[in-house]
Amino acid sequence: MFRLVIRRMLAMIPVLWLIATITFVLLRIVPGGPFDAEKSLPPEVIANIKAKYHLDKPLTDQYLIYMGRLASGDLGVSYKYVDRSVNDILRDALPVSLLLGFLALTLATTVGLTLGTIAAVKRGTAIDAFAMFLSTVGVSVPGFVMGALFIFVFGLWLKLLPVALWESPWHMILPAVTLALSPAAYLARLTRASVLEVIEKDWVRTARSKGLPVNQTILRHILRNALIPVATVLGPLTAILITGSFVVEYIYAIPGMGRFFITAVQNRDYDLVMGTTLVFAVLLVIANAIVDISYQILDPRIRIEG
Amino acid sequence: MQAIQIAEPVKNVEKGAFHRLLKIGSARIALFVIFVLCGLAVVSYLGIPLSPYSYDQTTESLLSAPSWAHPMGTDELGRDLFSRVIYGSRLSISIGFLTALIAFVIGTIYGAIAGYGGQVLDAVLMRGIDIAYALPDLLVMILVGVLIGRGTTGILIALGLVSWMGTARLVRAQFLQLQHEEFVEAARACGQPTWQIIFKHLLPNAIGPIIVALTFTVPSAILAESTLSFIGLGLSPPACSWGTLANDGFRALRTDPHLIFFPSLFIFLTVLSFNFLGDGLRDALDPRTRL
Repeated sequence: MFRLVIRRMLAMIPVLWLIATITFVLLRIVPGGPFDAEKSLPPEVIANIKAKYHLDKPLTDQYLIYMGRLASGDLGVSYKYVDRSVNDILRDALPVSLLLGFLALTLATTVGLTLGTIAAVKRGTAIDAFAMFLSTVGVSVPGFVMGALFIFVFGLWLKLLPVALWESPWHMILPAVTLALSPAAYLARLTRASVLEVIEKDWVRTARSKGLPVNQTILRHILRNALIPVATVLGPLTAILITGSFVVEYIYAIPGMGRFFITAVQNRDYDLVMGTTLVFAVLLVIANAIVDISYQILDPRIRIEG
Repeated sequence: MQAIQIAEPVKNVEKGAFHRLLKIGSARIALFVIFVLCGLAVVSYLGIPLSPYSYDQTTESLLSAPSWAHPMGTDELGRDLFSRVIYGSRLSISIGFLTALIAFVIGTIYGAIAGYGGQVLDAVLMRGIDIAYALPDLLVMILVGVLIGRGTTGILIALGLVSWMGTARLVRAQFLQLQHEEFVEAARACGQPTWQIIFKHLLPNAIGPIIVALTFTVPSAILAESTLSFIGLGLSPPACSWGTLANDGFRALRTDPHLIFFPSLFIFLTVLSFNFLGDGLRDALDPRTRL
């Protein structure tokens, strides 16, 4: 078990190196750079700035400099947020996005599992049809449409909740709900399919015939087995949440990773794009590693040789 | 004589699938909505009096609420929103279909090589798909967009890059299953070249699930394009898609909610319809859930 964790962590390094290299090349081979907009600056000044950030050197040199700093944990500086290092920005932005993602994930899991289980247990009934209709609607509404609707209804019309920034728990409700919507719908469909598969098994019939109440059977015998395929989608779920966070942080003006990533791409803020991309990559790799490790805990029949 | 006897029932199954599809209420409504939306987009090419770019200079028709003259109201330049939404549907719906086409071509070629090219090649190609799947679509699209620019072509390339994996997996699975069927072995024994086996025997028999997967590709492409344009990293004006219209509208949410309402409604209806159509097609083509 311990060896498995260590091995997975070591396997992260080449993946992250590959992602860093691809992103680096993608950003630099495009004509244009972070200081193009400032046309009023005299060329000497621009040359000076470029020299300061090593942008005047050949690409291979820039790459080696960047990788050298990266190896020592220094993600570089932002060209647009003056005097702030990327490490600084990420230290502020990451906790915000992690909290948002955690809230949304909790909400999505609760709603998705409940809806999916109910739909499967009541399969073929109007309740099932309604739950599946809800989940189809859930995957069909773009995040920004739901966000705009929430802002309009709860913020501007009913004036119940704040619609921007990230200051109190009240500020977190609308963004978390918006972000949770599409993963909840996705989880509901998955749970339904997974529960339907388990519900026909012999051990479920045995549990019922020995007199175990329906609720107990669902909790102890059905859900526990049905959760294995559901747990394996933590990787894709993380990807869905990251994608969603771009939109949600944009519309609710939340100072998180997604928002910094978008503005950094728009500004060609090289180091900040690299930094945010790498953090997203780390999150994804960790999520996938957790899935691999949790296979063993959830289902002892699966053994990965450590 | 025998060949005809084998071919006949296959035809009937496909015909039956369409009948079964029409029996599903949600799929019927979805088909109707898609037909109307595509119809409007096509009709707009025939010179119907729409004016998405021209605008009245009179002040009273700037940012007007929906009325008889402007069923969806007008924007801050006095442009008719109904015309703009219909024009937007041209771009948004074409992007959806073109992405499905790209996904079909890349996915089929990749999946065919993996499913028919031997175990070593298969293992390598499938690992590639696993990696491509693990990356968040929007992140890849934004980074690729930086490289190839944010025009319609750039968006299509970016969308194509994140959309082909599902089809590829499906084609591979179908090919792996089908290549040991008797009719394929018979064709191989007769000395038919590989490409002919793939296109004449394997692909036609795998086409049902592929169509279902592509039906789901269209709405996710429309969603991705509109999301990208909405956050300002996709198409930008004067290009006119539902996403750019929603982006315009979001800035005026406080004062003129109609500007974001109508483009959003069209995105929602289209995506919902394609999702229901996909569900319906899957049920209609899958013998296990036959109605």
